[in-house]
Amino acid sequence: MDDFKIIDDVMPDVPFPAAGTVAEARARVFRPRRRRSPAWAGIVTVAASAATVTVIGAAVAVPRLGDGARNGTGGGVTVAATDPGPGPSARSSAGVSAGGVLDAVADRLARREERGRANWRVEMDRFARSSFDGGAFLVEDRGREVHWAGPDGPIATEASAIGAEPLTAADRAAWEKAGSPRICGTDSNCENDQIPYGRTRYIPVSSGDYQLSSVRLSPRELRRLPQDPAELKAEIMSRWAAALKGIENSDAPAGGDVPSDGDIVWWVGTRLLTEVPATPPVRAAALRMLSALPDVRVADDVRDVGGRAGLALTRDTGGPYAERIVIDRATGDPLALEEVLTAPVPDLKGLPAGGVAFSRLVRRIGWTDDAPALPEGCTPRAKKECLR
Amino acid sequence: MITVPDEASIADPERFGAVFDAHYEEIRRYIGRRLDLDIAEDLAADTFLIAFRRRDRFDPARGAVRPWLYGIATNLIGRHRRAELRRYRILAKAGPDPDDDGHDQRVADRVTAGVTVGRLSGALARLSRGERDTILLSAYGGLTYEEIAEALGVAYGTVASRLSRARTKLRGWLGVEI
Repeated sequence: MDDFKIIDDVMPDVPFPAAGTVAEARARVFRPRRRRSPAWAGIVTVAASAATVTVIGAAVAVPRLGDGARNGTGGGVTVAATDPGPGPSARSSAGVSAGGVLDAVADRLARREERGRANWRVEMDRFARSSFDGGAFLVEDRGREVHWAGPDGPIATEASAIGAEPLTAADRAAWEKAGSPRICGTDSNCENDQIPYGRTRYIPVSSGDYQLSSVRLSPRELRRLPQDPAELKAEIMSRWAAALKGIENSDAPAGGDVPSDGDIVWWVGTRLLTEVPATPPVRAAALRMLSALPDVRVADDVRDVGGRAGLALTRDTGGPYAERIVIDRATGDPLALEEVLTAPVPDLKGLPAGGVAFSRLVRRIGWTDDAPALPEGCTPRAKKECLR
Repeated sequence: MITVPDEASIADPERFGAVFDAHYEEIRRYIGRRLDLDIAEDLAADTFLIAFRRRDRFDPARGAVRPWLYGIATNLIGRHRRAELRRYRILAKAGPDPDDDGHDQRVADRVTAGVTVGRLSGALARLSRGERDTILLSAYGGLTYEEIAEALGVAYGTVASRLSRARTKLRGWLGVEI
């Protein structure tokens, strides 16, 4: 149907989704049907989870913040690792528990002194796997993102589309067998008009605030976030509640899903670690805060899709996707933010449990004297020539 | 590249993932072309959250999942009508340059004929809400008359008459055949 095509042609289009937003939206929709809990329900849940700590593979229950008084564990460290087996390990080769490694990493990170430089930069490679041709083979779509911020807040994001290819040799064979169809990126029509392969879209930011999921923070507020994990969590929850009040609408189905506390803390906490220039003590607090979530497991020697080993905080969502952040043990900086299958799913046919469905590998993160080079004419207002 | 799921299977929570994967980008894009992107991101997720919650009420015999999602998205946009109109006013004053990226020769031809982002935004703002919903479902979503009727829960004839009225108005305001 070609009606009103002129409107489609002439009106401005929408930029490519920013890093992680699709995964986050997905997680928001597909987390298990979490109760909008009455106040007492949380206590019951926490108590139940404390009584029946089941450990999958090599996991460690680390101290819970703020919950200890309720469930009677007093916040002590509960190490409940079972046979670590090969691969991810609750204990490092030096015999230190993953929880212990996390503590050491967070301590080190909190003490780090960062020299003020001109700009904050995060460079990430993005991998998204999906099935093609009715599940005949898997495809990996690759892209790159660079996030820039300055003392006055976010400046710009550069998003590049690199290409898409069959994931494995078997997938390639299946692709060839299917007649080597053209593999598209995020657009279903192969036109890929947001960021064509081989090109970069520059997205200048006009707002001076950081948007971490639903929590908006000015640069000053970001710098002044609490350095204590329990206080940080409380601050996030209170800011989220305030933001939610503003957007809550009347005809949301009664008793419907709202993000659980764990969702909120995870979404905001992982962004504190991977996207914005939070201070080292705040990042250390964020690490401890995430590790203390009841559905988060900590394991050492986990490899990201780039093959780099680190300390992984894995959060079970109850659905077929677990979310994890992999941390560099030496620095406390993030290595990767990934979604891992906990069970095979029909829409990623061929990807086994444990396979990574989505990954953002952090290649560089930190302050720099470099500055973003936006194409001339590409400004938050004009957005002219923003595709290169 | 995305596999469109069997319509009948969406009541299954696991299969609903395929609905999300198949349609999230286009729903986000549809909303993002009518509202600012920060609102659009939230509303796109809300669209699927609502669809997921109501998936047991979805009747494949009555229509396809795509217009159903567009209908939910359009209802959510309706709650931000003032924001949408404000956006058109801003675009009408300072629309992107006609040679902005993504705009090709076909657009250049339109612009030569006088249809700029600014003028078009002004015209969209002047349509009634029902007319605007109807033509934008057609323009951005590529929905057919039947699908628009399903999405908006109105009769086929209503869609036809809204489109016809909108076309007449746009032709008058813009001076070209739309």
